Amino acid sequence: MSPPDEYALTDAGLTDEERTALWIAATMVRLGGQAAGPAAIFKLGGSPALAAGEPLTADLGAEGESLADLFDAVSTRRVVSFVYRDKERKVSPYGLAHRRGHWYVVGGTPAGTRVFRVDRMLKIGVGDKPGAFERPAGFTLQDELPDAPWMAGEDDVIVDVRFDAGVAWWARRQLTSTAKVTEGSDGSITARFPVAQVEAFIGWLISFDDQAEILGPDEMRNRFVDHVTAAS
Amino acid sequence: MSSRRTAQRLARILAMLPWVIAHPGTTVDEVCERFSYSRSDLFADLNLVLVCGLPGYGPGELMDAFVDEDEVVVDAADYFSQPVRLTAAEALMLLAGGMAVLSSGSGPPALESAVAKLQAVIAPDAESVAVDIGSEPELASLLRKAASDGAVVNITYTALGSGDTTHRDIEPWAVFSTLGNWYVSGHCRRADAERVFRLDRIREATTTAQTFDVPESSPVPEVRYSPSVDDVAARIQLSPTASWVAEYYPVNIVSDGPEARVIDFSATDPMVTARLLLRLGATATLLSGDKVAAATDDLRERILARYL
Repeated sequence: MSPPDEYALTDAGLTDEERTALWIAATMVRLGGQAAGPAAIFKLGGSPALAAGEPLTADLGAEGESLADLFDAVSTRRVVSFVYRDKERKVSPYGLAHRRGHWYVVGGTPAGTRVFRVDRMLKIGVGDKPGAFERPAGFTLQDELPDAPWMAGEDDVIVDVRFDAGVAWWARRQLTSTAKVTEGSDGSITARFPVAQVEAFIGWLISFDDQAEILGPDEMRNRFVDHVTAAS
Repeated sequence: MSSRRTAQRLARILAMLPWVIAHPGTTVDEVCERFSYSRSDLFADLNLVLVCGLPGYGPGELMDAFVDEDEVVVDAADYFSQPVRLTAAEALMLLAGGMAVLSSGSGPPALESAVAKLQAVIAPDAESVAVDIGSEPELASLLRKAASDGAVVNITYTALGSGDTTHRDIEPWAVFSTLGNWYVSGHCRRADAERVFRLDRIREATTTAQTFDVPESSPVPEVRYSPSVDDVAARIQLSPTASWVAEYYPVNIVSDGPEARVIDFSATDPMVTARLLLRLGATATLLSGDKVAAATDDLRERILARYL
């Protein structure tokens, strides 16, 4: 027979109002292709307003199973292993975050704290040993999170990009606060901003078709041309 | 009874018992409302509990569970006085849902305190989970109000596939967020059909004096692909690095192996597939699809013309 501390839920001290708010929020969100079932809220004590759910309003992605494993690793401080950009990694997961459409693991590596996109992680494994690491003092998840997919990575380059007048309005909506924007007299804009994930940056730039151009550095122009040329 | 239904029934019993034990004097109606029971299902579960207990299973080890007038009574069940721990998936779903709604700027104060309390008991480190779907765009409130009032909205919209800009009168149904982007679903009077528009592609929106009957129930708001005979199909081979495409987009997986995954990808406009292929670079190969091949060549030439 298992002792209660091996299976019992610690009482979170939720009020009925809080349980109901939590339940309604869970039904408004879809994760791993599905919305929440009532089992979790039942464990927390049920809710007197279970039928009051609002229509679905947010979809957080399809990576449900791997996210649950990663969340467990974060919660129990277990090391995770995975393949990322063709390299095998072992990471101490300090946090798990969703930002603007993508899930990220923020974790410790021999080279320091790094951010990894979950949908790019292959062959995810979770270590057996709980409490395998300590988070660095002063770590805050929010400070490590990228504002855009091209800001999550290990690259380090400043780019200048011109967006033609026809797409300048759309580019402005997607550029983050780190971008320095200069307006051209013809309605175009030129933006200078840091890129930490070149592949994600190139992918994003292609969404502008031929109405955007990397002005510099030359190395990035060449890499962009190589990428587009290599496509089948 | 299927094993899944049995598991669901057991999960509800294990959640209901601790609450009843902690709330002596609770009524049948209260338990039914809180745990979504019908009266007959609750009575059936209490009868089941009556023959459960600790190993030994003598009268001293079995639980008491019955209805006394209208009061639900559970006794001799100290072992079940605490609810079972949340699974990682359950905990993440509750936390992520709460945080997502809060980040949109539409969560009540009770949700904020609920998320904080829940996080404190299931994740030992502060701030180990964060969800930010981005605050609602300014347009969202205009569209939500129009959806609720039954007001037609005129939008200037630039399509993702073709890049064409059009003016449309739409009857908005719902505003929602999917994978980092905000959308409005509704009836487009120009197309005379249901449509979903990305909010960041709407350059302007104006509420008009025209009205429409707000539908009693509209389709679940989501970005979904509806196949059409006019769609342009392509067969694409993905390397492991690009295998995420099959999870991200609605595709048919033709074959799957450790070295390559082959998918059928369809879109209304071949330029959508062309953009995807250029984005994937050398990690994907177009196996068939003449229109997509032509669109890809065209897009590549236009892009490279700026560089070479």
